[in-house]
Amino acid sequence: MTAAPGAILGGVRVLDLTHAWAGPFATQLLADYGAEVIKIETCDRPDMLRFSTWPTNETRPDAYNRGGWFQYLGRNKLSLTLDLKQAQGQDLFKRLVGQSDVVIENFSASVMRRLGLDYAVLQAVNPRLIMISMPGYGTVGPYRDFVAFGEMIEPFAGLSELTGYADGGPLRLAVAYPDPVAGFHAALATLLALRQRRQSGQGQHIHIPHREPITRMLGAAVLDYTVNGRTLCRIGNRHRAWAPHGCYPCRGPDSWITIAVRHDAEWTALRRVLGEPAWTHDPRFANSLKRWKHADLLDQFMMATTQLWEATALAMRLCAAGIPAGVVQTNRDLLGDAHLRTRQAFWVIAHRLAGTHPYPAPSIRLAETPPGLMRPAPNLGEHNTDVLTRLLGLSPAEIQDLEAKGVIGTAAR
Amino acid sequence: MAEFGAHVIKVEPPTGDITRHRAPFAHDQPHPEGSLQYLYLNTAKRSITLHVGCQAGMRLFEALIQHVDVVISDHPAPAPAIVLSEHELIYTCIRPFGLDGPHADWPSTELTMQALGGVMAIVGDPDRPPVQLGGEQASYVGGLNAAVATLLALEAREHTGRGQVIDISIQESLLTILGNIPILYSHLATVARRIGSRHHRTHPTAIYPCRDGYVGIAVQTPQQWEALCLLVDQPELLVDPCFTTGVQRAERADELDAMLLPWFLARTRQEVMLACQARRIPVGLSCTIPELLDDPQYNASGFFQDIDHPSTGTVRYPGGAFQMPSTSGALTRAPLLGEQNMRVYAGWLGISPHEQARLRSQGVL
Repeated sequence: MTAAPGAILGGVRVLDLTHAWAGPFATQLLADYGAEVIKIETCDRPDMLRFSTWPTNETRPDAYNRGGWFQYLGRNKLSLTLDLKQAQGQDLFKRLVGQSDVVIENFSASVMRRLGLDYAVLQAVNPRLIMISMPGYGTVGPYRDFVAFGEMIEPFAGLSELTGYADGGPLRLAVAYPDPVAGFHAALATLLALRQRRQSGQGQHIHIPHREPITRMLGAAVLDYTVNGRTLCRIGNRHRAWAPHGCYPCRGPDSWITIAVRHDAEWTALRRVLGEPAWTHDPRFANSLKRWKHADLLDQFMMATTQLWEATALAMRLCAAGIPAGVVQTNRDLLGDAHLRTRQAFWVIAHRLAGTHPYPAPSIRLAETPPGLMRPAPNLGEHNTDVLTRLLGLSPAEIQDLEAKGVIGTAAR
Repeated sequence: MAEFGAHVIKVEPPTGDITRHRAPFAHDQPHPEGSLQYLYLNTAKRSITLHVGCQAGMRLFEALIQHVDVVISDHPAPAPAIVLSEHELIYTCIRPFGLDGPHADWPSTELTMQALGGVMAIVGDPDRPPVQLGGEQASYVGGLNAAVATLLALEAREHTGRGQVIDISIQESLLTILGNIPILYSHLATVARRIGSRHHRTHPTAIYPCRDGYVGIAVQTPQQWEALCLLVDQPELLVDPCFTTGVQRAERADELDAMLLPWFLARTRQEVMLACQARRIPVGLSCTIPELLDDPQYNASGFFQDIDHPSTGTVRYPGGAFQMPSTSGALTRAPLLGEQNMRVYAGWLGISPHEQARLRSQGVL
């Protein structure tokens, strides 16, 4: 029997102080599985994500409720505005902590302490509280107060020196790759801590530094240095043992295919798919080692040949013959990808202000206990009354008073 | 999962996991105990050997899973039958394209996954071919998804009392690291392409050359833009209406770089990083691996760990991605091939050493 969508984290309440991508990514994962994620922002500084990816020159005053990226990462969350610089805001926050399971924040390392809301304070309110902090670099060390944005963390953590052409500089993904990686780790930490709490009855405070997970994902390259003293360099799309292994142009503008030939049997199959052109019988390509040694020449022949093919047609032929091949898919290609569509890898979400669009579905879709789409992304402060009434029992008059004092609100200032 | 206290038993074919046979090797000597990839990926785990592909091996596997909570595999074959019979078992299956759909059985590698997952389209110079992210990131991202999914399924089991098959697609896992790139198309009909080290919607967010190497820079907020203009002594940029928003600056990135780069090229990257960070501008070195090992922050936080292994002696490894106060955080070395055979087969299944020797000679263990 399959459980209702979004049921498995139904008993978990999360106070989400995060902004940008890493933290909201983590809480999206929890919210898709039914955690009650209360996203806390201030009217002075709503999540910067709210202003991203909706017509470039958007001037409508409520643009922050319509941004495409916020629509994506904000789904299934509730929005509460709360000015944590005001004593009343801090007090309300602590009262919410008393009724919550998790606090997650990605401020700079010192912010929660300055607000008087560090873990020691919150734990005194709720010993079962799990707190996840996502500082750039940790709580000790010379860089602890450095600013961290995912886009510069990728080179800072060492990945960029391994990414790029053999004769070019370091490169990076055009978006902040370290952000979702930190987000996955934060979600993992939350689930581990919830599990542990079931046994111990106690919460704990876990730090997920932004930079460390990326360095960790360079494992074998680190050991190649510490064991063998070798510093790997950039190799473009080459492989350290296989050839041909690359990204080759196809017919049509900016159309590319990747092909990876791992052994002689795949080479024989490749030759057949390409129609046994004369160059494939060159003795310099007769076995794996020879092909690898003559990879420059091999790549020139490959390019000259793939250019005659339409990318998708060639990829289908190669894959059918058992050779790993894949078209370089753009965002447009991904949204049209028949395989992804069959697997329902996109959810179509309708929002009153943002319109109806496809968004990537959760990448984790447990079949028996599935994630769900309970609500689209919230407008700023949309759930102020709901949260403050339902959880703290505030009266309409008290809520009005908070609005008048600017502790809460529904419009960015 | 092993790092945080799960008892992970790596079930290897009698010849060893495929990564045991992949370079780089310790001291460049090919040996199943010396693959650095294996040593790195299998810290804190145990190893048993088992040839699952024969009847006797499958029977042993079925006996073993009576003792476990989770099976993680990149192979779909035994899953459905096992889960049908073992209601509490969680079977996490990591596949390039998932368990079903028209491409489910396509062959693939790290490179082709990065292409089909939309990663390569946004890595590389505009006038050169798309290029892969280094260090097998598609595989790592698939692994991260599988770890979170497995924890979710364990949580679900607390409520339902039942396990399930988890279908992880590496291609779909990669969609999650693309951020707003799919949204750029669905909301703005913009096809996002590779743009060097830059960002599509803001600038300067890039990797900049300095006198002695590179730094990463991520100027995005108005405060950071203002601080940068003042630091490089170009306050006139602040009042130039062409450069007010990030999107405007991204559109004129070449023009802007021509004005900004001389300041960077005249300084060492250490000077650039410290000057920028002192003004809250997010800048960091583009670190090589030797630099990471000497990194003052990593050394202060104790990120690297020394681990002893017969093939390498004591060497440094990247440590855990995060520390939990409730677990020790110390990693133990990767297991030798079949190192825990005796303990698992005798201890769990009561198979005598004599019987194990027989199974070994038959190629089952």
